Amino acid sequence: VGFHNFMDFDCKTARGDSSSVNRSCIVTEGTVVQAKPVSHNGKAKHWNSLSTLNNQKCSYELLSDPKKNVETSDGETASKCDSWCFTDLPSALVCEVLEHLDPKELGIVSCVSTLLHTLATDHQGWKKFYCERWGIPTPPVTLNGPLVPGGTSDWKSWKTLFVEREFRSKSFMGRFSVDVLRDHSEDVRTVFLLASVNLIFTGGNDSVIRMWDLEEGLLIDKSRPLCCTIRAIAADTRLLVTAGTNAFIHCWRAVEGNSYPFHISGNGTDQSPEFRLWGHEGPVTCLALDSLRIFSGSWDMTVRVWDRSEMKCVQKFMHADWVWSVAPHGNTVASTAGRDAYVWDIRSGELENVISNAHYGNAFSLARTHLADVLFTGGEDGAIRLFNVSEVSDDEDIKPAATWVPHTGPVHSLAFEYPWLVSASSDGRVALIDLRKLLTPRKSSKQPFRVKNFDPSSIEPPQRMLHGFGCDLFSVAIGADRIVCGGEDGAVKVWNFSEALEIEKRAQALRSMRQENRMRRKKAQVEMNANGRRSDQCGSIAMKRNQLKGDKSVTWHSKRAINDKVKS
Amino acid sequence: MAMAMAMAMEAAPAPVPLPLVLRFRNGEDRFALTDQPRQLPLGYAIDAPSIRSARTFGLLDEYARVHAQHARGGPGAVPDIAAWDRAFMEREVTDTDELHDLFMAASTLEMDGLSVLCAQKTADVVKKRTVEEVKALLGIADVGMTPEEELKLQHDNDAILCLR
Repeated sequence: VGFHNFMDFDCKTARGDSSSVNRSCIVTEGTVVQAKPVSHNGKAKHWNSLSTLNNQKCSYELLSDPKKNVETSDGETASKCDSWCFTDLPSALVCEVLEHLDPKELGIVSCVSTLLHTLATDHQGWKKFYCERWGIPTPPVTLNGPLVPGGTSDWKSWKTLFVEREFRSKSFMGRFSVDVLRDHSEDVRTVFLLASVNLIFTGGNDSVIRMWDLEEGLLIDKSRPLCCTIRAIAADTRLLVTAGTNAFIHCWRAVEGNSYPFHISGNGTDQSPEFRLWGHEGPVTCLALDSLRIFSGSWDMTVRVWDRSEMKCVQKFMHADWVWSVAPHGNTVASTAGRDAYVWDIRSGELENVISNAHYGNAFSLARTHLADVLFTGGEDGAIRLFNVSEVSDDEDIKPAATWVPHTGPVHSLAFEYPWLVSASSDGRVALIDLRKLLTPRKSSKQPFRVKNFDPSSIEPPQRMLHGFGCDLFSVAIGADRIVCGGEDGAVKVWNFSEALEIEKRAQALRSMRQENRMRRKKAQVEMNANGRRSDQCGSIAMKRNQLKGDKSVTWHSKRAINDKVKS
Repeated sequence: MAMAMAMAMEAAPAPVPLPLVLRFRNGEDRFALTDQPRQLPLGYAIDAPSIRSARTFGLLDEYARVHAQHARGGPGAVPDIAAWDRAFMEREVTDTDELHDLFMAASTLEMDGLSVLCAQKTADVVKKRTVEEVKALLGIADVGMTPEEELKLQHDNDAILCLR
């Protein structure tokens, strides 16, 4: 039986490995004549070459009493010649242990010793952490090249990417400013944020698609009227698709060479990058894209899948009621129709899961994460629910794993960017829900993540509410440190949290400086007490421990500053 | 692996019984007869120096026997092997010395299931601990850097240490 490699980490040769062998405790030949045992595998011989004894100061105590260990190790002066350090383990085993740890625990382990630091910063683990949360980075991040010899820049890049992104995700609890973009003459029914190229697309009752610059808040382009209410928009860097009440899907291909990828104000000649997809028999209410397909849902009770290379319908999923929302992920597409939610397998066309009666009333909105088994729905009852749709629950009635009720009106739209789930409602408010504690990827369990077992009827508060201007909100999007929503008053609101990032960066720099000075003074004090009693040393260690714990808390400035900048 | 262990145990008898002395790293000896496979884990002779003590040997032996029995089925097998694994680790591995030795031996003998259990146990020791506590638990006294370098390393990892 060969050794099965469970590790995702690349195992590097540990610089700290010692190949010296101290044979003073090994029985030498001649002491006892014994039959030579048959060694079943060659690893035993390799193991003999590892260091067998070391004079390092080591201390082992019961696993359940770490604090006592700290005190004991401080008082330990004689080394136990028969004790071991975990750094004596081969790197392969240490990497196997690190595989079970999450980012924070890897950070702690990497502060323990240089050997563990080298192993803990292995980049494959950090890439996995990043992609589980935010997916594959968008094209502006020029990464994913072949491994650089030595791997220095590559592993720094992935770890740095993770740290930076984690840092930015906290900005939504900080200070914000509000821009209001006005040009629509009637309700804004849908907004789409294409963060990779800093664009916002909006559409509504006035049947005109508008394209806005995200940074400046300026209108860039607008389409000619499409003669119906626009209910859905989706885009990536190569394709923009819109749809509404008149049953067709109106599309623009990206054009190379311009400052903006899309040109939507053309006159519709045959040479333009504009075209339409026909097939639906009722209003189209939702759209989504992946790299190969277009997904559309309609009040004709179908979700259609269109092949992007041929631009024709290749799949149709029948529902029992009006389709409200659609969300693909990998080889599945989730949809809501009436009050139920569905998960379909795109390749086989089969229905994988049904969530009956997800809400009291229609299930208007849907969101998914990069963890395939998680599904969020928002409904007419003002509730947001989390469902675990893993394969195991095929034959059972699926119950919500968590429920939030942040709104007093229907939840028309959901948007997700780890760890934030954002909802927009007819009560005129936007709720931000922090899912970090719920979506904790665990590699050791069979499931890719662990959803805590909540009482299905339990209600948790959202982390933050953003108040609009008292009108219905129909659509919301999150990305690029911004939350964008559109509603009944024809305005597009952009909450901009990038200022919170700047404030927190300055605050963090100050904290680091103070901490460094404090630890330098502690070190000097410890040296002064070197001639003193041991109890002083124990006290200083306790203070260090408290210091580390105290530094773990992060406070964000949450003062609200609403600047109503009217731009037209 | 379990099936291989079961088959090996059945095929173990040697033509001529020989007394065999297993001498462990700490000097302990254990006597076994090669014609009695039940005295040997996995049903064949092993390289004793890869096992540090008779206690570690006993744990390996118990683990191998229970898993081989479970693979065969029958009235004596434990009904839930995963639950037994958890109870075994909780009951028997109570100090880091034993965990270290068992991990090393299981990996050397390619007992993958036991190796994964040891890796998980080691990871559980690290979870929710501070840096100082991890050092003490893993018995690391030589961090391989000066106090200034250690301070800088913690500074560099501030962003990660602040994760919730």
